[in-house]
Amino acid sequence: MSIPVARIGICTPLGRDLEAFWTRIAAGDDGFIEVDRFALPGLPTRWASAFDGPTTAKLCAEAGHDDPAVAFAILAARDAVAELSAEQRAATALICATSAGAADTHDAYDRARRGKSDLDPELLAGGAFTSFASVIADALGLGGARTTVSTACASGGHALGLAIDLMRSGDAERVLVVGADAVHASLFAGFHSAGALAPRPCSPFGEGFGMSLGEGAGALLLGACEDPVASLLGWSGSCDAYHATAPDPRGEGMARAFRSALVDAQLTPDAVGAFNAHGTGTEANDPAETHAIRAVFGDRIPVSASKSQLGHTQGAAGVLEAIVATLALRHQHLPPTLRSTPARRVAPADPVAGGRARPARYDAVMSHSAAFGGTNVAVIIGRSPRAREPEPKSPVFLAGVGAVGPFEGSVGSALDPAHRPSPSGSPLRVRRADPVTKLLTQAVAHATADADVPRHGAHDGVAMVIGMADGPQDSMRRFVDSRDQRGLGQASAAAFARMVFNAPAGAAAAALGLRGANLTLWSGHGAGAQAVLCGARLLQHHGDVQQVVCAAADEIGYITADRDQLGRLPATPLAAGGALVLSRTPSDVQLKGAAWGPPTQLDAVIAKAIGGLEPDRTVVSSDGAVPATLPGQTQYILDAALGYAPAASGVLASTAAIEWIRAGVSGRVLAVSIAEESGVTALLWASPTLGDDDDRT
Amino acid sequence: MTALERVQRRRQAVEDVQTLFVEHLMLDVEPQDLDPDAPLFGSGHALDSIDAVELVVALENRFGVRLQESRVLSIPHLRTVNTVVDLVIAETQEAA
Repeated sequence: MSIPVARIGICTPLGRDLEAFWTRIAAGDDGFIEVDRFALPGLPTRWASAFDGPTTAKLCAEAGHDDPAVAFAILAARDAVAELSAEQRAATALICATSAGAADTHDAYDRARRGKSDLDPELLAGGAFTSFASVIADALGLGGARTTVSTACASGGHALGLAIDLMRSGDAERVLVVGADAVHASLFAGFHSAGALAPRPCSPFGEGFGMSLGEGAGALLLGACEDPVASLLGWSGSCDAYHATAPDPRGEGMARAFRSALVDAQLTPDAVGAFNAHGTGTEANDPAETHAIRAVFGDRIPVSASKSQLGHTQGAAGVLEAIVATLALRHQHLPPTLRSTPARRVAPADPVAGGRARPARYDAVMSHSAAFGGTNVAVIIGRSPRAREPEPKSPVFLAGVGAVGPFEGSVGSALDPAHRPSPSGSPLRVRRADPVTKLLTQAVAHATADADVPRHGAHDGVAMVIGMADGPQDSMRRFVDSRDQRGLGQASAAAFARMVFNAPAGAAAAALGLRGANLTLWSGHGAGAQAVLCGARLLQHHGDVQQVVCAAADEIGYITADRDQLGRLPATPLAAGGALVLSRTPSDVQLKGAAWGPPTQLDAVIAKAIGGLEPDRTVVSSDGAVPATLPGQTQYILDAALGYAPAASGVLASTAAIEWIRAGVSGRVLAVSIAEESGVTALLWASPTLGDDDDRT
Repeated sequence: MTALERVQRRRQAVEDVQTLFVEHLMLDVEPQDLDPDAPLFGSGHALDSIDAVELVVALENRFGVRLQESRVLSIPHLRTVNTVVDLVIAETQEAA
């Protein structure tokens, strides 16, 4: 099933009007300026595709939010939903894509912690800090489910992919995908330390290595409409499982994502007439990507690197570049790669040089993004919808489970002491990692061992969907300390690489050789439960995905401590990790139903997940009040019993359910996550021997 | 500087470098257990180029030396704790 693109909104330094934006892209304009919003002492370049200070202030005023990334997102999203009625908005789901989220808000918090101003509790309470999507949803009156994808520079592509799968499953009829990021001093500092910044606007595939930053937002409204702009035909992801920041130099992981996306779209390579590259300009990316493109498409395909015009807009890149690709497809042109001549030794045969767009006839384009953590994602966009053979939705079974925390490996017995679990396998020693990465990797190692995934070797068919709340706090603190103590020009590159929200997922994948799609959701409390639902969809819609690891973890870091001190935590903080492995192979536990929605729709979401199959137990994780009217004879409140682990709790609730069903103490268990910001997710686990023929997954 | 002073100075530098490595590169050992002759990059502690950058900046800040403009800095200097100590002592003497 292809997904119609109904309407597009943008907020970029090359304009906010879509047609004017395309005219400037086609003419070979770029958005590069020497950034004037903040000082960059000790850094050799100020170039980025960015808004100047006065324009940024105007945009923030217009959006009604003083964080630039949030403001860009609101303005792009506002245009994309302009034609929807209030009722339609109330039923629209939202998937945001961002790498740093509300970076200025985070920076204000860090400054306040150093005592240079008062620590405003609202800085931590505001959704901008942990649930970017809920801020955007509230600003626009979007009343559907909401989540935020944060896979660094690949976030945008993953958000589009996730939207495709959720719409195929009927989890949402209309989804708004919004990618947004703003430039900020730490971003310059981090990429400078990593040795990646170009001194002048970048030249992908051309002479001189290095990337240039960019900012802005793009929004695509997906769903049935009378005259679609284009159609999303398919997508896929992969993970190099190779290195924290550098891609596999042979481009092998990227090529796997391209091939798998072609399979998903039911297209041959010849049917794709243009390629929008990740094309950052760096020595690490461009040659690897060139090898991958050549391996899959040969030398015939024209390759455009839009970062030569928009800069590297981080989490927004996958969305903005998909928009450029869509506009080019509609206008039957190929967008240019500026400064791509003279060409490097390893470069695509046709980088669309010449400084302006070139006419071409083609029906489909692939847009590719890659990121820290070795994660790659490819999305295929078509001029017209494509009838796709409807595949029977396969049931989802549990293949393995693992948990790490102060409950001796068994969440089920911590909640119900009468339950005695079987001992779990040997722990994995995780070296050189921050606390959340250790917890996540160990939980995933337990779960994959339980699912009989060999601990060594490469597993192309095993994907990961990870939930994060406050993320790698220890690495964030190390980075901020290095920046403040040593200066902007000497910030820690190692901490920068580890503090992106998908770094733990990338490290876990590399430790265990899990090379399938690799997504991280950054949605605060409830992220773990959302990861399970999204992981089930990935499994159901991608035949080449054999197993999906759904996991989440939380460390107790400086943000946790501040929240605790401000009385913002519903229970004692808990450092923990939880992981499940989902599979199509029948086992002793089945995911019978899965549904999600906004915070206001608890009853409807539960009713959809259980579909009349009354559970005998319910496990709840909640960041607020727990309603009295939950189904099941017995209810367990996870946070009260174990402690507060905002992301992991959504997985641990399912862990308890699975343990009880495996032990035969319960036939059907409902795991519910209730979060004020990210909303409600309900998962019904059951023993397949109960013989329910109805399946709601 | 007497021979004894040189030995003491070297011992102190080894301890400082061990502590710096464990703190900055997140090694899962106690500083005193970090073998001064064990290879740090590649197969040993599996450090990489990003760690090398971090290491150089951390050494500069800890010992007040300027390694990035150093005439002597090369990859073999970052091979083990002992080679790093050699570099730091050479650079502090050069600065003095």
